[in-house]
Amino acid sequence: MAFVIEPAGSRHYYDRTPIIRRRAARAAQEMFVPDTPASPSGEVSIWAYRGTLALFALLAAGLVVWFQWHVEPFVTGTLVIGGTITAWGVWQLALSFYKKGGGGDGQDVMRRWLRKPRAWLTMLFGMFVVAVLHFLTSSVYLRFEGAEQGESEFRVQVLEGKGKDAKVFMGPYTLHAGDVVGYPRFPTWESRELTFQILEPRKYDVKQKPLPTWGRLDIKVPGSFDDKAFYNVVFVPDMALYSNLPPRRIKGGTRHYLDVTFNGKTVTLPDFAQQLVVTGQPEQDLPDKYAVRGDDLIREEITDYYLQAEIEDRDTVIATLFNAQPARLGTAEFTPGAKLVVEVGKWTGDAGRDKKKDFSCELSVPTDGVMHVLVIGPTMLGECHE
Amino acid sequence: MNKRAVAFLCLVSVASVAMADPPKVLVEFRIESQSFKDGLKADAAPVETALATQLATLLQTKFPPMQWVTGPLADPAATLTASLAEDDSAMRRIFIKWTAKIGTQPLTLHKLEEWTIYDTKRASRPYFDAAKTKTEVGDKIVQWMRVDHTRDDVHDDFLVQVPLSRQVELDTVKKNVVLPLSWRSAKLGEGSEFRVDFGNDPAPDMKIFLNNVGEARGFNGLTRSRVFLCTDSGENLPEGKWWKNCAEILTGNGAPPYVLRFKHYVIGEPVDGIAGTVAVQP
Repeated sequence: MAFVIEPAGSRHYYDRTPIIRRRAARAAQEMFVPDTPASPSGEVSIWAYRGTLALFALLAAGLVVWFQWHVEPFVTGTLVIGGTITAWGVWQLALSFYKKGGGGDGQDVMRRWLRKPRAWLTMLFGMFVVAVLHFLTSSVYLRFEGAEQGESEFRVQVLEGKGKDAKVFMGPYTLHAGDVVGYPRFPTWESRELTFQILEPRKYDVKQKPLPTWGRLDIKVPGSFDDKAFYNVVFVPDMALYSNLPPRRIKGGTRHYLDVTFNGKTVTLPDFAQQLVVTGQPEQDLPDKYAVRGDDLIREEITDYYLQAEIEDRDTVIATLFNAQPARLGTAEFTPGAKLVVEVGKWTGDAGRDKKKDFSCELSVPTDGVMHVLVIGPTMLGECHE
Repeated sequence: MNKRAVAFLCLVSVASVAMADPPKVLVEFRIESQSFKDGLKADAAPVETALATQLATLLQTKFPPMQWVTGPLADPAATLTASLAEDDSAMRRIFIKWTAKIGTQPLTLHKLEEWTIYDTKRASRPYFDAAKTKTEVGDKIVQWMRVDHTRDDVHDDFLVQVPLSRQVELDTVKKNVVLPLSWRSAKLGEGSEFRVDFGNDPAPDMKIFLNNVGEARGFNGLTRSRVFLCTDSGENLPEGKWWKNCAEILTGNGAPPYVLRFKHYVIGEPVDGIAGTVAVQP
């Protein structure tokens, strides 16, 4: 520890306190010494004091709000408690220096400080700082909330911008129960257009939100997301096509194909048999065979078609269609009202790799977001033609 | 009995047996339907063979005077072809259509109609299943043969056009015309009738009709018949002239070319020891 020998007669010569403590105490004392006395006593009037106190209260409130608004989700409860205790300890340490430096008992430090004539300026500066914090801090948080039974994990990411130009802004994160991810950004100079995506499971719509420079987005995953409306369709062969297609498990004979063109891209089902074909999404997201077979509306629409078709063996046909495993044909996600071109034909040529079209159909994706049946085949005049 | 007599008897016997060999009619089944061709591919040929055999068996049962055969046959008396075909409608109608030839000449069939196998109200078709095709089409053929008018159509359109023989024998003692048909296997009913068609010039402008069929005793089980109508240049000849003017011209070196055909065939069941038949329901 360093000591400084001061000349005799010095005010603090007798004091053997280390100089660093004495200087700290002096600084603390000087801090509360008004530069420009406002009154003969060196303290402001009671009304000025109250004004400064009000400013202080506003400053404190602003800080608390800012903290609560942008930072609190970022720090854990442990950190809040630990930080508070640490701050209290530091404050107590500063007071102890102050007391040892002859600054009094420290009980009314704040009161004395706030009574100083220039305290209001300090408050104003503090308020300016808090205002800057408020206006230039933005934060984005994603919290696990609103999951349905059985949903325990979500992969989520945040994109900046829209469409193909969008870039990853945050994530991807994997959220489990109780998780909160995100952070505050300071300073932020511009607002952003953010797109929130639940990557897995894919049953939720994307959510778009603007993030102003002072904004805070607290997104509940999946509570803040709407269920995605899927525009899947189930292709059902009409009676004429059904009669031409091979039963699903029979090998040999001429193979049939089914092409679906959506948004200029064509996907092919190479072995089209007497079965249902569900499509409208990437393959991994399409409903499974149980969902398709168990869909009451699908069953009803197929039965209705074959009832009006007036064929004698409709029960056999319907049973065959539902007993055969539905084909799942992955595509880009269908959009409501989108145009589809469906082509059915045979594989020909020596190697069986050439396509020979039998007929094609021009269809529209239903707009109600419910999986519907689209009947295809040469008898569907108006929609299908050779 | 000297050697010459034995040799003569053997020769007569062999000749009679040879004459009893029934006319062979080739039965074919062809898959022409593109849907079945595409589906069955290489399995189509065995299906064709099986269905041709089934059809021939049925025809043999219903029309036993002919020998209905399948497979390659060098010189059939006639050919009956059943083709599995389809129409151009969206919901294909699958049917059997019939074509026929006498020798090598196509025969126009006026009555034999298409027989629907799968109509437009039946969506399940065994295009890709050979076994099922055999079963289902075979069942339809059985149904077809069970229907009276289809049997009549086969008779009227085809059977009466098939040449049975180009020669007959005469039983001068009993004044019978002996036909080269086995009495037992031909199963000729009492109402069966034959006609003798003469060719063009220098054949006579005659029509000879035979009935009263029965077993020709002493002719190795062949069939005998008698003239019951004979016309010459449009005029009916009196019964007294039938044998000399109408029967005797059918044999000998100066016999004009002619063909024996059915005028009408009625199936019957021959009864042992009786020169006649008992009519049976086909």
